[in-house]
Parts: sequence; C-alpha cells; structure tokens
Amino acid sequence: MKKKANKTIADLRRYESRNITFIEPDGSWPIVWERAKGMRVWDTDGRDYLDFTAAFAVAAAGHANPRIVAAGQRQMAKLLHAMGDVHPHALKAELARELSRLTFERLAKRTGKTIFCSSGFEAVEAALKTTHLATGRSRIIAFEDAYHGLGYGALNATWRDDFRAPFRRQLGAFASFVPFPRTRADLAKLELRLAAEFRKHKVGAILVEPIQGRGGTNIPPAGFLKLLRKVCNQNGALLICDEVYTGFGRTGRWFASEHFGVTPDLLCLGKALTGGFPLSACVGRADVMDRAWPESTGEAIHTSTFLGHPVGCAMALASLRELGWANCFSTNSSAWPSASAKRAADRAASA
Amino acid sequence: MLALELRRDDGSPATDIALGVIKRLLRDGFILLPEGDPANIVAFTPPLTVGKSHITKLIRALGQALEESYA
Repeated sequence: MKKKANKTIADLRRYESRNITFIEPDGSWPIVWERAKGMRVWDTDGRDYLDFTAAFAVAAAGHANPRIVAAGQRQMAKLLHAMGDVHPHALKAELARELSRLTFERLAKRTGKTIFCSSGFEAVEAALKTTHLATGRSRIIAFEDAYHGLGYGALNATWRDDFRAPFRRQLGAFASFVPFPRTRADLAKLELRLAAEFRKHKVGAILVEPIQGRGGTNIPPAGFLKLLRKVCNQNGALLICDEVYTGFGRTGRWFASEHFGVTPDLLCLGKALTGGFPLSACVGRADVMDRAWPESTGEAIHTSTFLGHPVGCAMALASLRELGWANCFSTNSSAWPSASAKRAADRAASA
Repeated sequence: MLALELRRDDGSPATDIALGVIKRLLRDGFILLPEGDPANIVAFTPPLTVGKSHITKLIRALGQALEESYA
C-alpha cells in the first residue's frame, strides 16, 4: 500500500498543471520523495532507494551533505535574503572570487567575472546576452541533440523539436544546429559546416556541452573542442561551454572541457554548484564580460530578485570545499578529486 | 557519468525496453533516468560519493532486468 504517496499524487493531479509530473496510471511511476542522505532516498512510505541520478546530477557531494546543509542553515538564520543587484552581501563577492579562481585563473591565468542566476537555463541565457553585447552579433551555432534548457532564450539552442515546436512562433530562432561529432572522421565535415555557417550568418558564439548529457551522454572525439576554439578564434566569435551538467567533477575533472585542453570564453554552471539550492552562474573571461556589460548607472539591464541568493552562495562555497576545491587550489592541480575529497567520499561510502 | 544505450537486434532504439528496465529497477530500489531522444539510453550519474557496494548491487539488478527484458 502506498497511502501517503497516493494522496500526494492525487493532489498533484488536481492542483498542479498538467504536463509537469509524469504519472503512470498503474502507480509504477513516480515515487514520492520524503528524505535523502548520501546515496539513499526514502519515499513517503518508508521504502529506501539508491539514487543513481544524484537528482539531475545536483547532489554530487551526496544528498543532504551535512556540511553543505549546515552552511545553508547558518546562512538562513543570519540573512535569508538580500538585494540582488542593489545592496549586496559578502558571500556573493566571495563566491564570485572563488569561481574566478576555479575557472579562468586556474585554467588561463586570467580573471573571470560572474553573473549569478537561479536555474541552469538562465546561466545559458546570460551567456547569450553577453555574446550579443560583446560581439554585436545575434546568431549562435548549437549542436544537434543539445540540451540547454527550456526558457525562451535557451530553448532556441535546445535541439529537440518536441520542446521547441509548440512555442516556435514565439522564439527568436537565432541558432543554427550542426551535427555533434561522434568520431574523428566527423570533425572534417564539421569544420566545413561551421565555415559555411560563418559565411552565411553573423555568428557571435558557438554554444556547446563538452559532453552532451540529456542528449544521451554523447562523448565527442578528441580534437572537437580544439576545433571549435580554432574556428571561434578565426572568426572573432565566443566559445560558450555549457557545463551545467558536466561541471564540478562529474566527468573526473572540475570541468569536462579540461579533458580537451580547451578554455572557453564563457562557462555556464549550475546543478552541483550548490548541491541542492537553485543557484547558477555564467562565468566569463573578465575582458569579454567587460566588453559586453557597461558600468551600471543605477539600473542593471540583466538581474532578478534572487540574484546571488545568500543561502545559495553559502551552500555553493561549502559545496566547493566538499568537492575538494581548497586543497586543489593550494596545489594548483587540475586533477579531481583532491586527496581530501577522496577521503571524504570513502567515509561517506562506508557510512 | 556513464550510460547504457539499448538497441534491438536490428539496430533500432529499444526505448520500450529501456523504460521498462528503469521502472523495474525503481521497484527493486534503484533510481535511474532515461536519456536521449528516443529515450533508449539508461544514464548513471550518481552522487560522487557512490561506493563500490552500491555499484555492485546496481549491476546485479540491472543484469537481471536486462536478461528478463531481452528474453
């Protein structure tokens, strides 16, 4: 008997919009989550499960990681909400500094600047706006099977037609899609195709997941990102890596683009950044960000109420520590995870 | 970040088998999601704290579910 779950499902059927929660009539899907810890999830009827999704790759440091939870709780008691782009709080600056160190300072010995957002797709949209402002070009190139989220900006770059088709008449359609390469032999064809796109359109950026996630865990051949880097450099375009899914150790490095020896101009981050709070970030090379965004004269032209939320920033800083960032920075190593993170993982696994 | 792509003998995507396996594994106590279009890929993105014993348990259950699905 799934009494508690049945009540929740009935309420969702009645009060949540259709087309959100998929519900099998036979009760086989979904389960209703009540609590989670490490690898384990318990449903409302007391059954436990091993979670091989990390809940959309968010819980990289384990569900309800005690140090991340404690950081969030401390921050909630101290300052639950601040004023995004108006009156800041110290943790927003601290997290922006750490993201600069973790990304562009470590990878390219340059400063990075961040726009904080809430969801992954918003980080992509901040990158799209940055591209438009920095290059003066509105077109982008994206890839078949790409997933960059479903907001009205990011949706233009998400490949699946069933996501785009119902809203096509409200979309800007500013993306061209090219095949995501599967073998080295595909790279020569891709290069020709990219050249054609650049001849045809004023392309400001190539937007890419270094390893495609929702599109099917598609791993491109070696040389792929280097090709994109070369094409972007030749054409004065930006390279945007969407690492919302692949970032923060998911592929064995801090960022999947590191496997390919390429540093993008803009990096979209989210999910495991906080381990469970809706905070995302578009981190860009400082010179690119400064070229795009003018000094504020009192009204930010891209912001939101919860921008740089204090609880999210506190959890992100704790999450970075849990994933081994402090140790990694002190040794200037790009390897992941650090020895301390490995030990923490071993402790968690044996708990 | 790993995935298992399921296809039929003729090479066509085995979406129904992938979704069936994921539902069967949920009954067995494992949470998994499909990926790709047409959802014939079983993805594995556990917390990075995943232990060998967790993986061993999943592989056993997955093997059994696949054997039954392809039988």
